[in-house]
Amino acid sequence: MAGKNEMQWSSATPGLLVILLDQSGSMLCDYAGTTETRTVYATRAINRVIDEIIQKNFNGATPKNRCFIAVIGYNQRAKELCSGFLTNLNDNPIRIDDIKQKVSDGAGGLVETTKKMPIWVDPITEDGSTNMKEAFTLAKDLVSQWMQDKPNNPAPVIINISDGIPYYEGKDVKDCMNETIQVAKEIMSLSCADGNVLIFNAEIGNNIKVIFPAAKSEVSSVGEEAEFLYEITSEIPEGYKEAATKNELPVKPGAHGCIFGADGTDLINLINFGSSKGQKDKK
Amino acid sequence: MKIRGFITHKKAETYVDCQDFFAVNSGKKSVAISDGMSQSIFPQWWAKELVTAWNENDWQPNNTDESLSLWREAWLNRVLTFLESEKSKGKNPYRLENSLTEKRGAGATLCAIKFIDNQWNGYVLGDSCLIIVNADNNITDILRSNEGEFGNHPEFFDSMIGGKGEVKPIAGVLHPLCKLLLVSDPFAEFLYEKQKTHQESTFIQQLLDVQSHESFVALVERWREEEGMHNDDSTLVIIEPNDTQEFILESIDDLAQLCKEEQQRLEESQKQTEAISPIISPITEPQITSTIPSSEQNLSDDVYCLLEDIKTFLIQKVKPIFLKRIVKKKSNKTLDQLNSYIRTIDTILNRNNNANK
Repeated sequence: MAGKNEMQWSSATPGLLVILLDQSGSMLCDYAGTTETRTVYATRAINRVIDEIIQKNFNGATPKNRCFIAVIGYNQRAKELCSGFLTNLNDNPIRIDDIKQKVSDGAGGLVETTKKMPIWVDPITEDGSTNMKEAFTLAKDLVSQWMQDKPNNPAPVIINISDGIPYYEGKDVKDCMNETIQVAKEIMSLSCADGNVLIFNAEIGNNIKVIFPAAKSEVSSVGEEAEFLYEITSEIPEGYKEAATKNELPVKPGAHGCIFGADGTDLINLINFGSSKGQKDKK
Repeated sequence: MKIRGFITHKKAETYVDCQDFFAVNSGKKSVAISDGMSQSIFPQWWAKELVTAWNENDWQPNNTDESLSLWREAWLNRVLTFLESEKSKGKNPYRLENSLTEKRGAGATLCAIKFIDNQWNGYVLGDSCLIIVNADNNITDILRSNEGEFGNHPEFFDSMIGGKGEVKPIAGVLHPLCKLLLVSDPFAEFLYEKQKTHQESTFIQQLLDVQSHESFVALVERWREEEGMHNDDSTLVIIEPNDTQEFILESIDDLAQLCKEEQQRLEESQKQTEAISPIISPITEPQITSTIPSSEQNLSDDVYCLLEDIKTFLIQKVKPIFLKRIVKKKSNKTLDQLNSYIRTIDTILNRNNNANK
């Protein structure tokens, strides 16, 4: 019988995080309410997610390998964009950019500083379809192999960052949705001693923010793509709720691990990497 | 009073990774433990600063900027020295620089007491606890700064800015036959749960039976494995009354010494690896397959098993990715054993070669 997804991600028992990134042509459209494209926004989100996970496990000298991350991009086909344990990723970004940010000056004010931002994934420049099904199929293979090799580690987590619904191989959208839902449900039924494999979703197409809905009706206002993503999202297990609560993320009974109109970094605050200073996890 | 203190690291990590710290000052009759937080920067250094501040510098803990300023400065100086050292080696410690710019420092708990005769007083902050045990080995109190279940977000002192929670003053008397345990959160949570069902006395006795670092490590490993104790850095200080009110240090782990011994073992292991590297380095997987005779070649089962062990070892050392292709992993052999096997197999192969000639 599967557990409650309570196992801590540790060096002894590292977890697997698979991130699926929509790189379809629609991602070249502007992100609602902003002046940048969805692909730029989503790529920044991915880089922030990886950076934040490494930071959470960074002890000052080096990151602890409490997590293996695989990033899969998908358009017509699904392909691996980058992968590795945290140390590998930390040591091998494709480049390090300087970004300006405002931080507390310690006296109630803000001061602008330059932050070094490692980059692992770049935005797309070419059009393409949305073969989300193939991405989930690849993810399914990865998590199955991982659980076979590491049956006593935390159940893997898949985070899908997308602006909408699958469309590929010239098929009817409904068929694409049904096929993708089927693969996603197969993944969610996979389990190890810790619990079932989890799928979380972050939708970035609209600017209507909804966090952790507990019913499909809560996302109807966002659109059909939101209802679809809700369908392929796991309910947040008990083992993840404490971390969510401590990070002041609203988790009501039956809440699903999907967020709309947000970049997905909140989703990694659900993962238990060990003791933290709590309020400093918040961004 | 008899004092014993022990520390060990998380499973699959090392003493260098250990983020707990404890120390005993017999002259001042003071003891302190601190647990650095996983998701913070150099928490082990911060834990040591806090413990040292209490034991050596008569610090009266308070979770305020003013109270912490000296210890924060000491921690920061050490971090900056490390940062410069990394740069001088040609490295790019951008993540550490980011952390300092964003004031993402270290977090650490504290449980600290001092004795005057048999009366003690001190402070706690976070989930490092003082546990009071009676003559029957039952827990009469678990002192920490906040009540309720244990979690991953305890109260803490911050090495850069802010912090969380209010320091709680504690005081009491060590009565004859009673014991005091200063523990970090794995023990605290474990015993807290056992106390709920009045089962703690058996486990307390097992703790009191610990007389050496080795027996402590064995107990921690067993409790993790069999009792589900949380896999985290684990610290225990036992204070038992006897016929004197002076501190008698019976067995006190020294984390720095444990790190040093660990480093020596590592260097020794590396030397041994280098010693056999000429054998390993030129070999690739297909060569190994052709070099190592198969079981069809008149070898006894024992020798074949030996060859398989060596093959496994060589494959691991040559290219770890080939591990996936090994059906049965045999990595529990020590380097000494493997070296011995290699010498043996070398002899066998030479003998076979000579016979063939």
